Amino acid sequence: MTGRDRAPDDLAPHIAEPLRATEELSNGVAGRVMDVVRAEGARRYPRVGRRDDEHWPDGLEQLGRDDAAAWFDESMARWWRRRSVQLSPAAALAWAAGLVAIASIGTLRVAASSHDPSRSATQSVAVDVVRFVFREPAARHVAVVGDFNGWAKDATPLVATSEQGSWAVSVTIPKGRHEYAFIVDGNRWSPDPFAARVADEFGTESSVVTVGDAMPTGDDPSRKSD
Amino acid sequence: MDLRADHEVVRAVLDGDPDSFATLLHRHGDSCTRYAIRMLGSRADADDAVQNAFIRAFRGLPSCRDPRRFRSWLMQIVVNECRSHGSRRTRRARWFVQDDAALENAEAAAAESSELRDELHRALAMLPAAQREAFLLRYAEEMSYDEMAAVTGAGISALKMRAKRACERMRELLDGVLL
Repeated sequence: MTGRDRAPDDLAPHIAEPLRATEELSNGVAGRVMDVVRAEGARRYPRVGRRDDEHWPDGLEQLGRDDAAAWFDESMARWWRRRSVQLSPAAALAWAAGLVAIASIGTLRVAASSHDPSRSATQSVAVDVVRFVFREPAARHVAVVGDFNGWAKDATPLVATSEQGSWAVSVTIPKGRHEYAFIVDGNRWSPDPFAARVADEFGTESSVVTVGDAMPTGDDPSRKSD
Repeated sequence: MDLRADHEVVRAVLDGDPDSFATLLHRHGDSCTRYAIRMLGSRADADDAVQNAFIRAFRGLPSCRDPRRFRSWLMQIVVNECRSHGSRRTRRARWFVQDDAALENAEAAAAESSELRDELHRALAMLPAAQREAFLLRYAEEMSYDEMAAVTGAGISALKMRAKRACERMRELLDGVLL
């Protein structure tokens, strides 16, 4: 029986076997994942319930005043370490309102990425909205491509601004480090000359913007930039 | 060996035992790595995708609505990570890779190799990404079409068609080598 005679779901064993061969998770990956898990675990998912060593001591009423005070201090310290704060609904609402107000003050700083030499792409850093600005009077169409839009050249076109030759678009981007470039007239790749750059394995450069970090993109120490 | 079911381990992590996540990592890490290597054709890219996927899974654990189907939920993240890597590589290929000499050398190196796995990977790499994805989930991870639909977001009939076409193409590519 040849391969073409076989039913579609009948995969030849000598293809299926190597296809299903085990590929072990690398130790490096496992280690790095667990580093993140342990670093963030207590904050993301605080331990619930009371720990076994945190029970109310038997016969507390028989402790002397100093012993009782020491036990109380230790329990409070544990409580703060666990961060398992229990709030009443009203208190929780008040906390939430306060946090929203604080967050609103610091939100929506806009990073301008411009080809205008008088304006640098690294002047400011966005929290979650980045305004990309491109200046080229001869351009007929400009788009920004990046890891935030799947590098799709039609996904995020820039719009001509009132300033002649300038194009701009505001994009909501998740926090973190992102690579991007401009596509001019549908076929010309143009990294931002005023932003930090990174070259891929083929030597082609993209620009870098870091969102949600006070550090200017050009100073990102985790990446080698030109 | 941790004998707890996935949903019990997920509950433990959410209840403040982050070390339990290691159980999920080691229980599903191999199959995620296998899928990523077959999908991306590179151990380095696969490691990157799997690492990102597990970190995203840990951070998004509360959004796993049905922890009894943790594996499907995790594979959904792995598939998305591989798509991101794939689109990035496609972007590079589209925009910059026109090194014909390098491509010819790669073809020659692959042709000279007698390793079954190399031939398989070379054939997989020649499938369109959507077909490769369906083929791997169906035949390497042995998922049902229902499960594949949940993982990929594609319809069952579309997935069946992709898997069928991928099979036909694989047989053409491997004909004379393996069949």
